[in-house]
Amino acid sequence: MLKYILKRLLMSILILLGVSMIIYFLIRLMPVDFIQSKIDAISRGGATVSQETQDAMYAMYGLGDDSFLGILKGYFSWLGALAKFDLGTSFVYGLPVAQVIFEHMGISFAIALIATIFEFMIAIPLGITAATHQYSFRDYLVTVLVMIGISLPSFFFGNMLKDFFALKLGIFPASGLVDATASYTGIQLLGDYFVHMFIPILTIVILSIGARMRMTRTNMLEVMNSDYIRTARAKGLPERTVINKHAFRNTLIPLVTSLAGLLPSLFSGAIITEQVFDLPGIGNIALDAMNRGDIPFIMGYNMFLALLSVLGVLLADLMYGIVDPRVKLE
Amino acid sequence: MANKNYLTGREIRKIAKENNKIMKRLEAYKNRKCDESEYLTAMHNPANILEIEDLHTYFFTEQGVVKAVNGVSLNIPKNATVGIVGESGCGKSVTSMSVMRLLQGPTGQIYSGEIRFNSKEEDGTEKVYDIAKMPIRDIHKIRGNQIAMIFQEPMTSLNPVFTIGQQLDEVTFIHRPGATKEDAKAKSMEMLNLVGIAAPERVYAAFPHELSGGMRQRVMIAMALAADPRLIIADEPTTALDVTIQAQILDLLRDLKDKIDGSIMLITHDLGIIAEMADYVVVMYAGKVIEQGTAKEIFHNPMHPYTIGLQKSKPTLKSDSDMLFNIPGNVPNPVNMPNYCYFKERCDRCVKKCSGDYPGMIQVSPTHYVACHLYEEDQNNG
Repeated sequence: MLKYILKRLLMSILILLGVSMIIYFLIRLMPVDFIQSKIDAISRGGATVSQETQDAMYAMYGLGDDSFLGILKGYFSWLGALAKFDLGTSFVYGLPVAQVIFEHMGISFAIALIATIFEFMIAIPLGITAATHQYSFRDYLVTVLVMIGISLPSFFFGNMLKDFFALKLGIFPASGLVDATASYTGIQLLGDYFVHMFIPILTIVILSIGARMRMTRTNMLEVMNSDYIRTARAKGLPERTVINKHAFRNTLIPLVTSLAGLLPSLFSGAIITEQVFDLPGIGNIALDAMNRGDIPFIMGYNMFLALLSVLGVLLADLMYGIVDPRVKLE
Repeated sequence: MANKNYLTGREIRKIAKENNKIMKRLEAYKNRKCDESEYLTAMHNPANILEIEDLHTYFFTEQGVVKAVNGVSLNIPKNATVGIVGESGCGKSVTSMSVMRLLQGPTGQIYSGEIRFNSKEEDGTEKVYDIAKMPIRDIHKIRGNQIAMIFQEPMTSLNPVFTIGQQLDEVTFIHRPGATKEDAKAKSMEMLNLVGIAAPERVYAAFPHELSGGMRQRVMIAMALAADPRLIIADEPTTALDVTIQAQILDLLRDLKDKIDGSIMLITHDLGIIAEMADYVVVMYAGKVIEQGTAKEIFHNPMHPYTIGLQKSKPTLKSDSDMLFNIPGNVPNPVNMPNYCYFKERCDRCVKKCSGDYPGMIQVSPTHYVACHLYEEDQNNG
C-alpha cells in the first residue's frame, strides 16, 4: 500500500512537470502583455518611455526574449525558484504569489466546502427517492426541478437570487464579504461573513445539485436492478433495509470516489459567482491576474490546482480501495 | 393489426392510458393495508404445500400487455420435487417470481388467480395464505423464511460489498427476532457445513468475489436454507455452472431435500436434470401449462406434441445423426396471443379441431394431464 502511494506520488511529479511546462509556454504565448500595459499607462501620463527603458523593463521581468529558447530559459528559471519553494512575486500585487493565493483562498474554500456539504446532503436523498420511485410523480418533479437548476447560468441565477433576497426582501447583503459600515470583531465578524456568503452559497448549491442528483439516481437505478437486490428481497428483508443497506452501500462507491475528485474544486474558487457577488475569492483574483498577464501568479495558481487534481485522483483511487472490497491497490 | 410490426402514436397513447389505469389499481391493491382474514384461505388438497390456480401474471409494456403467465395451475405436494420445464420465455421464471412476489412493479403484476401456500406459524399451527392477494407489506410472513429461492446467476446474486458471513447472518436476524450475533454466526456456520463447504471459517469471512461460481451457489443455497424453509424454489440453479459443478450442486439439493423435510420447485430447461431430480413434471409453453404428470409419465409416455418435440431435441450418444432435432417455428408474439392452441403453427400433428378454441386440460391418468385436442376423442370414447 505504502509502496503504491509512493509510486503514484513519484509519477505525479512527472505529470506536474509536464503540466507546468505546457502552462508556462501557453502563458508566454498569450497575447496579454503586463509590461506593455504598464508602459502604456506611463505614456498616458505624458512621459515618454525610451526603447532602452522598455527593453530594460522586459529584461527585469524576465520577459526579454520571446524566442523558443528564451521561453525555455524562463521556464527553467521559474522551475529553479520553485525547487527552493519560491513561486515568485506577483506582477500585479507585488507580493509573493504564495501569499496572495493563501490570503484569498480561505473565503473561496469556505464557500465551496459549505456548498459541497449541502449539495451532497440534498442531492443524494433526492436521487435515491427519484430512483426508488422511478417514473412516479415524485421522480418527474425532482428531475424537472434539478434540470432547471442545471440549465440556469450562474450569472443569471445569482443575480436573480440577489434581486430577490437582497433587494426585494432586503434580508441579506447584495455583495461583498464584510459590512463596510460596521467594524465587527470576533464572533460578530464571523456572523457577518456568513450573512454575506449566504446568497453565493445558495446559488452554487442549487446549480450543482442537479448533476449530483442525476448521478445518484442513475447509480441507484442500476444497483436496484441488480441480482443481489433481488436476493436481498428474496431473503425477506423489508424494502427499507434493502434500499438503505444493500443498495445504498453500493451506490456509495461512485459517490465517495467522486467526492475525492472534488478536491481541486474546493480550492479553485467559483469565478463567475465570485464576480457576481464581488467576493474577494481566489477565483476572482485569478481571473483578474489572467486578464492582466500576471505570469507568476497564473503559474502559481494553476500549479496549485494541478497539484490538487493529481492528489485528488490519488485520493479517489485510495477511497475506491476502501469502499469497494473488490478493488485491491498494488 | 396482427401482422403489423409497428405502433402508431395514437395506439401507443391508448396502450399507455389503459396500462396506467390497470397498473395503478393493481399497485394500490398490492400496497393496501388489510386484515389477515382477507387473504386466509384453505388448501384444496391438504397433501399439497403450494397450489397455484389459474394464475395470470402480466407485464404492462409500451407495446401492450405481455401475458407472461396466462392461466397456470399446478400443485406442489409436501416433500416432493416438482420440475417445471419449458423454453426461454415460457413463463416458468415469472411463475416463481409471482410466488415470491418479486415481480418488478409497476410493470409486472399478478393480474388474477390464486397462489395458496400452507404456512407453518411459529407456534406450530398451520395457516393457508393466498399469496396473490397478500399485501406486499405482509409478505415477510413467508418470503425468505417459509419459501426461499435460489437464483440462476450465482456470480451476481451476492452483494459484492458485504462478506458472506454478514449476508448469511442477516437471514437469521430477520427471521429469528432476538437472535444474538453468536446465534446467527453459529447458524451460518452450520449452514455452510451443511452445503459441503470445506473451509467454512474462511468462507464466512470472505467477500463474494473471492469465491468460485460453484462456491457462491453453495452459499446461495446455504442462505436459502438458513431460515428452514418449507419450499425452496430453485430457478435454473445450475445453468451458469460447468457440468461437474452442476452434478455436485444437484446432488447437494437432492440430499438437502431429505434433510430439511421440504419441497422443491425446480425450474429448468434441461430435461436431464428433471429426469434425475423431479417426482412430478410440469411442461410450460407460452405462459400456459400444456402437460403435467409424474416424471415417469412425462418421460415414458409424453403426449403433447411439444413435450415429444422437447424430448427429441435432447442430444443422445446413441443417435448417429449429425443434426440435432429442433421444433420448427417460433413462439407466438406474447402481446397478441392467438385464441387457438399456441402450438398450432409449429405442430406436425394438427387436426381440424386445432383451429378452434384453446384446448382444455384433459386427464389421461390420475396424475397425467395434457392440453391437446388430439386426446379429446380418447376421453370421449373411453
